[in-house]
This record gives sequence, C-alpha cells and structure tokens, in this order.
Amino acid sequence: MNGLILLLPPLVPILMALFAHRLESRWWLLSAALPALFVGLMVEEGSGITIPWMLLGMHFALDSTGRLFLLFGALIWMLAALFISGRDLAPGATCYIKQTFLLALAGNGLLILAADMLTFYVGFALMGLSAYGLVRGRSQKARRAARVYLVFTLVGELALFVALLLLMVSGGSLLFEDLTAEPMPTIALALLLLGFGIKVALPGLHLWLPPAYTLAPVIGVALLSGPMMKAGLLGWLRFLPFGTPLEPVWGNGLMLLGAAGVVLGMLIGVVQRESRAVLAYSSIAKMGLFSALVGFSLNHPQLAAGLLPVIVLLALHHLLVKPMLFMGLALWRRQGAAAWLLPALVLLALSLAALPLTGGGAAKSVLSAALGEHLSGLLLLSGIAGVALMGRFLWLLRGSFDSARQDPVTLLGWLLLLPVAVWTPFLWEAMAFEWKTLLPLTGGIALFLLGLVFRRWLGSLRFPIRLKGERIILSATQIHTNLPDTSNVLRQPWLLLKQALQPHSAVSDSPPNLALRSPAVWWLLLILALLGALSLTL
Amino acid sequence: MTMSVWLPVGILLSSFIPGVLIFFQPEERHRLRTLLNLLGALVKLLLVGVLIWGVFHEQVFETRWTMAPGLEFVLHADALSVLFVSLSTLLWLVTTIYAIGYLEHTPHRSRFFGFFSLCVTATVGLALAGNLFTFVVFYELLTLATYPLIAHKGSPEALRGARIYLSYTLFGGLLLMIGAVWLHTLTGGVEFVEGGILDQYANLDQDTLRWIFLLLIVGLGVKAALVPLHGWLPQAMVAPAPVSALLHAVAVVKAGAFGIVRVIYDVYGVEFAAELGVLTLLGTVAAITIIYGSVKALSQDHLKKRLAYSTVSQVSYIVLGAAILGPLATIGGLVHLVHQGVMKITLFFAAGNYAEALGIHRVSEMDGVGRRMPGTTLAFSIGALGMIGIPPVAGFISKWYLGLGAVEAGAAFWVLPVLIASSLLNAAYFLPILYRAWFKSATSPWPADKTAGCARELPDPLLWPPVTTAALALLIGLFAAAPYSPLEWAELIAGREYRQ
Amino acid sequence: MNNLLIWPVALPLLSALLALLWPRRSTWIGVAGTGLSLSAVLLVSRQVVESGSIELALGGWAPGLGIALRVDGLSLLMLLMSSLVAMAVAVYSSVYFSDSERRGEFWVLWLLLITALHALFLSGDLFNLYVTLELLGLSAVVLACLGGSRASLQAALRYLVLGLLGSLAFLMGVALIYAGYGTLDMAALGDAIEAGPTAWVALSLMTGGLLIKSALFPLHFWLPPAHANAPAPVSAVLSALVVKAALYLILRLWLELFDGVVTQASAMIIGVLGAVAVLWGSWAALQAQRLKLMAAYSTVAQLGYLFLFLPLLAAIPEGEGRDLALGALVLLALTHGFAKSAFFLAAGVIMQRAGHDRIAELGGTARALPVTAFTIALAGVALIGLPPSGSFLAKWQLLSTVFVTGQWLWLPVIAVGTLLAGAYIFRLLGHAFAPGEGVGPSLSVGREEIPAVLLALIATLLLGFWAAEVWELVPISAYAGGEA
Repeated sequence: MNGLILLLPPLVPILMALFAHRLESRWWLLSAALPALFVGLMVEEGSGITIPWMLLGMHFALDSTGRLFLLFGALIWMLAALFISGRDLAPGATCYIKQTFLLALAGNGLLILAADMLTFYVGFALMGLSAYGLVRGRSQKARRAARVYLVFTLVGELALFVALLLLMVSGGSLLFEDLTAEPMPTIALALLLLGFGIKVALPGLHLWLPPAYTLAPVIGVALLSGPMMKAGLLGWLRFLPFGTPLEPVWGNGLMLLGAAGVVLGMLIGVVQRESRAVLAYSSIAKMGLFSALVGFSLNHPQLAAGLLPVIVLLALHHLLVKPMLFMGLALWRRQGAAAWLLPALVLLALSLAALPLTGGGAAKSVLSAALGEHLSGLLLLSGIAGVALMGRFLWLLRGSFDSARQDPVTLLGWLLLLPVAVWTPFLWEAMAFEWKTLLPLTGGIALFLLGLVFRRWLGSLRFPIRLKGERIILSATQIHTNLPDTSNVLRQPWLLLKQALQPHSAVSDSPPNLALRSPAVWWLLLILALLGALSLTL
Repeated sequence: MTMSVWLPVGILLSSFIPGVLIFFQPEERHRLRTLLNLLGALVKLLLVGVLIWGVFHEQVFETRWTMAPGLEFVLHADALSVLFVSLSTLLWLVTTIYAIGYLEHTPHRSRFFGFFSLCVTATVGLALAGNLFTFVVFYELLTLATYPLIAHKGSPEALRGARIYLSYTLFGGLLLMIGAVWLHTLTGGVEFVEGGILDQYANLDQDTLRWIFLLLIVGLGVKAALVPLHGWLPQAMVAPAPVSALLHAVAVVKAGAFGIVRVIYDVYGVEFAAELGVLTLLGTVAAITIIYGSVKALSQDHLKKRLAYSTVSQVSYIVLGAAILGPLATIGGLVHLVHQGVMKITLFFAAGNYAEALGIHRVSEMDGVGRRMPGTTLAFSIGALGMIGIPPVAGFISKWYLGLGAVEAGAAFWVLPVLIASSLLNAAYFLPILYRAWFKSATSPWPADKTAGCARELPDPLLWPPVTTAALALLIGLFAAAPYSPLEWAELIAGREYRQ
Repeated sequence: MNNLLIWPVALPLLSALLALLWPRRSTWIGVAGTGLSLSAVLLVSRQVVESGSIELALGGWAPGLGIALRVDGLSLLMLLMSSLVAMAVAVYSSVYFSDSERRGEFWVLWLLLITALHALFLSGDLFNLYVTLELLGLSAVVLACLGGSRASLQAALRYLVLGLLGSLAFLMGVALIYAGYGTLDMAALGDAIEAGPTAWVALSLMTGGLLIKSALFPLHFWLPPAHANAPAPVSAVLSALVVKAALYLILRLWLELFDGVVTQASAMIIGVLGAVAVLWGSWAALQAQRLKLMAAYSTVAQLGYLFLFLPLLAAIPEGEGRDLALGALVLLALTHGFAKSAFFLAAGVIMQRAGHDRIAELGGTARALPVTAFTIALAGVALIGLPPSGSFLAKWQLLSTVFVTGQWLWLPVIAVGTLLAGAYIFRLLGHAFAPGEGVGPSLSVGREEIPAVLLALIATLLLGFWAAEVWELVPISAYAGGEA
C-alpha cells in the first residue's frame, strides 16, 4: 500500500496535464505538487514498489536523499506555481506553461523516486524536455536561449542513454542497488559525467545556462536553478560508484572542472550588470563547488560515506535559496523596490554566501568538518566567490524595478518559505559562530569592490551570453527552423564551419566589440582559471 | 486439424473477398462498401486473435498447395508472421476508417478500396508466407496492388510517382526472384525455419551464398528503401494520405524490411550469415541509410516528403537490428517493425489531416496549427517524439534494445554513434515542426481552410485514427513489458530464432 | 472409345460445311461448332487423364499406311488451349462481326482454322502435319485480310508468301525423311532416325520453315503488321494459337523425332535468336505507338522466351529435369496464349469504342471500360511474368533451369526482357488510368468484354494456381522411347 503512494507524485501531475487546458486557477497547479509534499513528509523511508509490466519494469523507492529532495523540491514547485501569470492560465494560452509545468513536475517526482536507472532516465528526460516550455520567454532572444537549452538537454539525454546502455550490458541490471557490483565501464562513467554535467553546468557545458537564466520567465528560472539543476547532482549521487576505488583521473578531472567553475563564475559574475546574470554565474560557481566535492568523494571512497550527506545538505540549501532569490528578485521589481523587502533579500543572499548564523553558514561548517584538512583552498575560494557575487547582486538591486501588478498571495507565499529556505540546515547543525568563517567575507568584499572599480574596463564582459559556441548551435537550429530557406544540406556543415571561422558573421546582432568577445580569449581565461584552481587544490 | 489449415487462408480471404466484391460495387453504394470493408477488417482481426493465441501456444497453422513440381505455395504462421500480421491487420482497420473519411465525395472509391484490400491481402500473405517462393509471389503481388493506389489521383505527378515506384520495385522484385530461384536450385526448396536452414548445407560454395544474399537483399532493399535504392519512396508520397500511411507503416516499406529479417533469420540463420560476413555489409548500408535519410529529411519543406525521408531512415533501424548478431539487437529490430509502423502511420494521418482541413502541405505553413487542430497535432507530437526516441513513447524501446544489442555484440563503436546522430537529426527535423505547430502563432491565413466555422476540429473518421494510433504508440511504449506487448512478442521470436 | 479423337476435327469441319451452306445462320453455327469441338476436346482430355495417351488409326489401317491420330499430354494441352481460346474468341466474334457483311466468310474460315489446328495437334504423321499446316496457314491468311484495309491486305500478302515458303521448306524436309527412312509415322521415325546428313538437312529444312511460321527473330518481320492489322478476334487467334502450332511442331521434331540428331550448337543458335527476339521484341513493343502493334511485338518477344528453352532442353538429359523444363515451356506457351488472346480482344473492345488504338490517347479508358482495363492489366501481369500468373511459374522454372545447366548467358536476357515487358505494359496502363475523354463515357459491361476477362483470368489465376496439372500431363508421351 505504501508503495502505491510513491506513484502519486509523478502520476497526479501527468493526469492533471491531460486536463490542463481546463485548469484556470494556479491553485490547481500548486496542488499538483501536494502528493510530492505528502510523500516527502509522511511516507516512511525504505518503502518501494516494482511495476514489472510498465516500460521495461519500473522500480520506485524512497530513501533519505530522495525524501529530502522531494520534500524541499515540492515547496519550490508550489511556490513557483503561484508565479504563473494570469495570461498563461487563460484557456487559450499558447505558451503551454501549465502543461509543461505539470509534466516537468511529474518528471522531477519520477526521477527522485526512481530506484532504477531507466526510470530515473525517463523522469530526467521528461523533466528536461518539458522545461523547454518553462524556459521559453516571449522575446526573440529568450526563445533562442530556450533553443540552446533544448539542444544541450537533448545532447545530455543522449549521453545518458548511451551510458545506460553500457551499464545495462556490463552489469545486467538497471537497479541502483546492483550498480556497484561491477566495475563501471570507463565510457559509461565519462558519459554520466557529461550527461549530468550539462544539467549541473560544468564549465564548458554551461553555455546554455547564462542566457536561459537571464531571459527565461521567473517560474522557469526558479525551477531550473532549483529542483532541476539539483536533479543533475542527484543523478551523479545515484549513478556514480562512490565507495569503490576508481582511476583518480576521473575525480581529479571533476575537481578541476568544479574549481574552474568556481573561478569562472566568480570572475565573470562580479562584472555582470544584470542581477539575474549575477545569480546565473553564482549558480555556476556553486555547482562548481558541488562538482568538485563529488569528484573528491570519488577519489576518496573512505570519506565518501561521510561526505555525501553533506553534499546533499548543501544541495538542498541551494535548491531552496537560489529559486527564492530569483523569485524574490521578481517580487522586488514588482513591488517597485519596496524597502521592506530588502532585508529578506539580503538574508537570502547572506545565506547563499554562507555567512555565519545562516543556513548556508551552517551547511558550510558541516562541510568543513567532514572534509577536515582537504580542499580548504577551494572552500575559501568558494566562500570568496559567494560573497563577491552576492555583493554584486545586492548592489545591482538598486534601480532595478518595474511597475507590475502586485500580487499579495505570491508575496505571502514567498515570505512564508523564506525562513525555511534560510535556516533549514540548522535541522542538522546547531547554530554556531566562528570568526574563521568570516575570512571569505573580507576577500569577497575586496573582490566585489575591485569589480566595481574596474567595471568600466571590464564592461565588455558584462553580458557574455552569445559565446561563439552558442552562436554556432543557434545558427544550426536556425537553419532548420527557418525553412524553406534551406540551401543544399551538404553545404550545411560547410556553412557552420564558415560561421565558426568568421568572427563577424551576419547572424550576429551583437555590437562590434572588443577582442575580448572572441572565443580564444574565453578559452584562455578558462585555462587560466583551471590553472589557478589546480594550484588551489593541490 | 482443419482449422489449422484454414485459418491462414481465412486470414487472407478476409480481405481478399471484400476487395474483390468492392470492385464490382457502383460508386454510389457508399454504405455497402463501408460495411464490406469494416466487416472484412473485423473478421480478420478476430481470426488474427485466434492465430496469436494459437501460435503463442505453439500450435501449427499451415496450408500447403503445390503450384508446380518443387514449388509449393505455403502459408505458415510462426511467431514472426504473427507480429507482422497483427500489425497489418490492426493498422488496416484504422486506415480503412481513416480512408473512408478521407476519400468521402471523391471519385473512384470502389477501385481504391478494392486495391486497398488487395494490398493488405498481399501484405498479410507476405507475413504468412512459409517459404521463399510464396514470399516472392506476394512480394510481386504487393507491387501490383500498390501501383494503382499510388496512381490513384491520376494527375501527372501521381502517374510519375507511380511509374518511378514501379520501375524500382519491378527491378527489385526481379532480383529477388533471381536470388530466390538460385537458392531454390541449390537447396531444392527454401522453407522458412526458425534459426535458418543454410547451415545444414555444408557443401555449398560460400561465395555463391554471398552473391545470393546480395541479390536477395538488393531485391528486398528496394522496398525497404535502403540507400541507394530509396529513390521511389519520396516520390510515392503523391499518393492519397491513407495510402502513404499504409505504405510507410505497414505495406511496402515494411514488406521489404520484413523480408530482410526473414532472409537473415529464417533462411540463412543469423549465425551462419554472420559467419559468411554478409551482415557487416548490410549493417553498414543500414547505418548509411539511417544517417542519409535523416539528413535529407532536414532540408525538406514538404511535410510528407520530410516524413518519407524519415521513413527511409527509420526502417533501416529494423535492418540494422537484423544485421547485428545477438538476441537483443534482434528484439530491437523486430519491435521497431511494429513501433515504427504505429508511429509513422500516426504522422501520416496527421499530415493528411492538415492537408484535408487546412490545405497545409508544407512545414513552413504550419505556424500555429496546434491551436487550431489540437487533437491532430497532439497525435503528431507523440509520433514525432517517439521517432526521436523520447521515453516512454514506443520508439524509445526500439532504440534501447538496438543500443543494448550493439553493445552486447561489441558493435557499439559504430552503432551507437549512428543511433545518437540519428536521434539528434530526428530531433532537428521534428522539433522545429512541433515548435511551429505549438508555439508559433499563425501569421497568414491557412492555404485552404475547409473546416472554417465547424464546431469540431475534423470529422470523427479523420480525427480518431491518428489519436488512436498515437495513444497506441504511447501505450505500447509505456507498457512494453506487459504480456502480449510487441516487445514481449519480439522477445519470444528472438528466443525461438536463437534456439535458446 | 478411341473414336473420340475424330470429333475435335470432324465437328468444326462439319460446322464449316454447314456454315457455308447456310450463311444467314453462320454466327450460330460458328459458335455452336466451336462449342461442340470444345466439348469434344474436354471428353478427350478426360480420357487422357484417366488412361494416358490415345492413338487412333483411321480406317483401321495400321500407322504408316493410314491416317494416324494421336494425343498425348503435350498435344492435349495445346488442344485444350486452342479450343478454350477459340470458344472465347468465338463468343467475342459473334458480337464483333454481328453487323459485318463478311460474317459468313468469317465463320467458315474460322471453323476451318479450328479444324486445321485440332488436326495439327492430333496428327501422328509428318505428311498430315504438312497438310494441316498448310490449311492452317491459308485460312489464317484469309482471316487476316478480312479487315479489308490496304494495310491489312499488304500485310496478309506478305504473310501468305512467307507462310508458303515456310510450308514448302517443311514439305521438302518431309520428302527427305520419306526418302531416307521410308515412313512418315512419327512413332516409327522416332526410333529410326539417326544422326547423319539426311537427318541434318531434313531437320534444318523443317525447322527453318517452322521458324518462319513461328516468327523467330530475324524472320519475325511479317508478324507485327499482319497481327496488328487483322480484325481483333483474328489477331487474337493468330498470336495465341497459330504461331504456337509451329512451335508445337518444332518441339515435336526436336525433342522426339530428332532427339539424337540435335546438337547443342544448333540449339544454342536458336537460343541466341530467341534471346535477340526477346530483347528486340520487347524494345519494339515499348516504342510502339499503337496498342495492337505493341501486342504484336510483345508476341515476338514472348516467342523468343519459348525458344530460349531449346538450348536448355538440349543440355539436360532426358528425365525428370527435362520434363520440368518442358512443362515450364508448355506452361509459358499456354499462359501466353490465353493472355495474348485476352489482350487482343480487349484491344478490340477499346478500338471499337474509341475508334483508334493510339496508346497516347487512351486516357479515360479505365473509367469508361473498367472491365476491359482490368483485362488488360491481368493479361499484362501474365505477359510480364508476375505472380500469380502461369508465366511466373514458368519463368521461375526457366531461371531454375538456367542455374542448373549453368547457361548464364540467358539470365540477363530474361531479366532485361522482364523489365522491358513491365515497362511497356505499365506504360499502357499509365495511359489507360490517366484521366481523359478519349474513350467516351462509360456504358454497361458488354457481352464482348466477358470472354476477354475470362481468358485473362485463366492466364493469371487458373494457370498460376493449378499449373501442377501441366507438369503431370507433359510427361505423358505417345512417342516414348526415342533413344531408349
């Protein structure tokens, strides 16, 4: 009986999606996440169910990680549902926000409760693809951003698909519990890192993230930065063979990339002029830290058992805080920058920056304890990044508002969730204060100020959305959507190549700008960041 | 005892007799014709139900008739036949309903439905053929029965398309026949036996067998639209939508693919074929076809042409599955025989509906059609997502097993890149359509709006077939592991083929 | 009981006399006579199936002195085909010639033609064969010029001259045989003839004469104009039956009389000529602008197939394998007979309805004359050699024989010939199915359409599914022995 309840979180939203065109109240959508909340709160861990005749046999189970992800995820989904605008709720809405919201919710629930890889994959795909409708904004640029997101998501799905094939053949089973029985094929491991790395936005695979975060509707970006991004992390936690010895190259590589993410997010983030862009790079930096931690756990099987719950804790905190920040930003703008909202936002920002007395700080101290002497450099760096980016974010709050319709319900909901978001980690860790934790603060503030000073000089970096790589992907999708303008297909690879080689192609609508915009400079920067991170970790 | 003899014949006759009777009906006897059609389809469905049950319980259904010394006309139902027979029968029923709605008030309906039934008879005959000779007979009959359907409109393009179709298929049929005769001469009769028969003839020259394989595969490859023998398929899309639907999903293209499966598994035996080294070549051709078809589909603005190239690509999955040694790949190929049929027929129904209701023939005219025709577009979307391989639509299952088979057989290094590239390309040519249909809004009036002011999107016989098949595509994917699902059946076949 | 054999010859002959005496009722007499001879043939066939070959010496004299009538499997099949086709054509002609003033002449000649055909298939000695051949040729020529146009007269004249030439050569061959062996009875000759100059010369003369009559390339040039310009029912019997008679004789000579004399080389020459005929005839048919001309060239091609069998038959030792190939040959000949006659009758219907037979202007035929269009399609299927027609089986066996004997040369010929046949048939069907007003509005199904469709059905269904009988009948030989 308990097992059947596990089916509700994915099933209810799917059934509701069938009638979504009739659901004209956002409370319906909110209630779609209630089963997830219920399961997260009430169902005991360890319950599970197997449905052998469905797909290739589906297995569901609830464990502690899953419960936390489900529970806190549900809160964010519910709050996000309140942000759906009336225009999108109307019967003839063309954006299909309701449908995609429900499907993505179902996918999210499915992947969290999945006890086998295929079920996880199905949920992951359902969530990732449906999110296209959530990410897609109304402007032309936003649509392009959504398209880039879709391309990356598809590539990720395929990588996972292949990885699953390899795992299935090598291990003979798709259950997570059988996973560690066999040594994992190298290619499968690489593909897992790639497939989830896209969702987690590892440097190099992050290209979809800044445009999507900057341009998507609030609901989209809130969900993307919260439950969905963490689903990638959850994927790693579920799939990767922690606890078994592995070639150190994988862990090291992941650590390097993670560290690079921290550096990259920090350096680029502090010079952004758009609040959401700052938050986007903050996400990259944060996920960089998580990736590095995952990499570390891979390399240190003996520490992994203690470390993984901490990663979950950190992830949960971020899962709550980042969407809250995005939604808070939206509220801030809607309320016309009402001063009384500022403390709340500051509180969230501080928590994200892991300052003492906030949930972030608590989580971080747990982490420090679990890590001991390891990775202290990276932690420091991450702390600096957090402070600097949040400083930048708060700085940019000045003057960023528009006058939209006020909505007390949404505001209330947001405020209700605020304490949960900020202080949740104290469920695990008593409130404490250590001076040592203020160390990153000074560094971060210094960096933030530096960013302010050199803003003009670095101004050209402010909106580095349209990287070369994206442009290629964009133009590739462009070619296929703008039919019948298709020329000879055989020429298309050549066209792509040509566009890639020409710095000022006709497609680009970016202003003719500095050499800094050219990809070579970006890659150089990336390599520098990597080297820096290397020096820090060793 | 008698039933085991008469059942295969009955299954053939249940579409043949209505077909012949329909020929003699005057144009205006709409009701009688519909009655005959549906009656035939339902009877066939019933008989196939009995057949499925029987074959599952290892009963033998066989009809033999000597046509010439050494040449026996054999109808024999094994698990593989049942897979194809059930698909044909089910989709015939749906397509007939669709065609009745689609062709309302058009001329020559008696002729159309007559040949339509004959076409299905030939397809079912192919499925039930118990030896190579019988297979060739039905293979040629299929060519004959389809030609008038493609030429049905009588317009110059239709005639041209039909002519091209014919020149390809006659050529293919001839090669198949030569190969079949050759093999027949060497062995004295080629019965389809699970596991193949040729490994028992140790004294045969292997090179000769390779040449024969080549002849057979080229002959069958014409209908299966393997590159470079695919040229007729995009031209044949001038046919009316129900014909295209049946052509791409069941009848012609599948007949070729089914034949290739038969030759590999039940004539050569897959292990023996692998020993001969012919599977590698076939696999390469299939891989090239998969990629080529997808790339060509990208640049087609004409919706049905895009779908046609997509068929070129997708049908080769079946061939690919057959060309990889190992039960898992076999399952993937076989199950795709069904899955591709259900999904592709949905797509063609939907394309027909767009043309019928709004005069839309091109992808570039589809902006905003999702809101105007939600049912059709939903069906189309499910079909398209399935083609890309998005779970839980049926296409995912096929790809999953193909991939597993490739990894299992150690062919992953070339099969998986092909699968990935094909999936990406599929996404690249299907997703823009979905994008246009759902997310864009109509900027210009529809080319020919015939349903303006109607309360319903479309009349029932046009709307329900695609919705039904789309639901089916979803369900057979979602419940793939359920008993009697196509997947289960494919596993049954693979088990018998590999003599496990 | 053996007197049965007289009736297939005597009945049409008597009817011919009756028709001559009573011209006003000639239509009735003609149809009835044809029907009666058909029933006689059916009786004979029952007898043969039950008890093997039958022999009858007319007047009670032993063979060699009197007139011997013999029927075995091969001749029975030919008899059956000719009487069935004749029956159908007769029904058709009763409509076709109903208003013609030459009705009387037609029926007399028609019955004579049938008499000659049946006698030819039943004859057991060479001289009788010559006589029947001559009678057949003459009545065919006169029938061919019944159309009365200038072109048809010219063509018939050429037909006459070549026919006479052919008969003359045959007669000379017969004379040589008689001089050499002192008998003309075929059963006796089969044992007597041995390889030697006499046999070779006689065989060459007789074969040459028959090749003219059966229009093997390059001696085919008289056929297309003659067949294309004759009235439709006459074309039907000319193409379906008359040329087959010559072919039948060649088979008799090569396989039974001169069994030991025939060399592989000579058979190869015939085979190569047949191959060229297949290719050339098909190609010419593809180029033809008129329906009947196309059909006539198609006949040239189809005869070529039949001659392809000769080198194959010569290469296989006597026995089951050869019977298999021989059966295929006979089946192909039968199928072609039925299909081609159906085709010509359908062409006749179209010509009468449209007033012309230009292929390019046949648009609308399928709508106006669905049954006839269907007939053409069915007959076309048989001509191409697609299943389920008898010619498909025959071609299968032909290919099989090619593989068995290793004479790969014929493989491309068969392949290309089949493809060309497909091309010309479907070119025609394409035009027939195209929309257009060339043929006029649809009328009810006429009596003249039914015989054709029945013939086509025999060719495509009956001979396809019940062809095994052919192989059972062919080995029944009245001339068993030969070398043995």
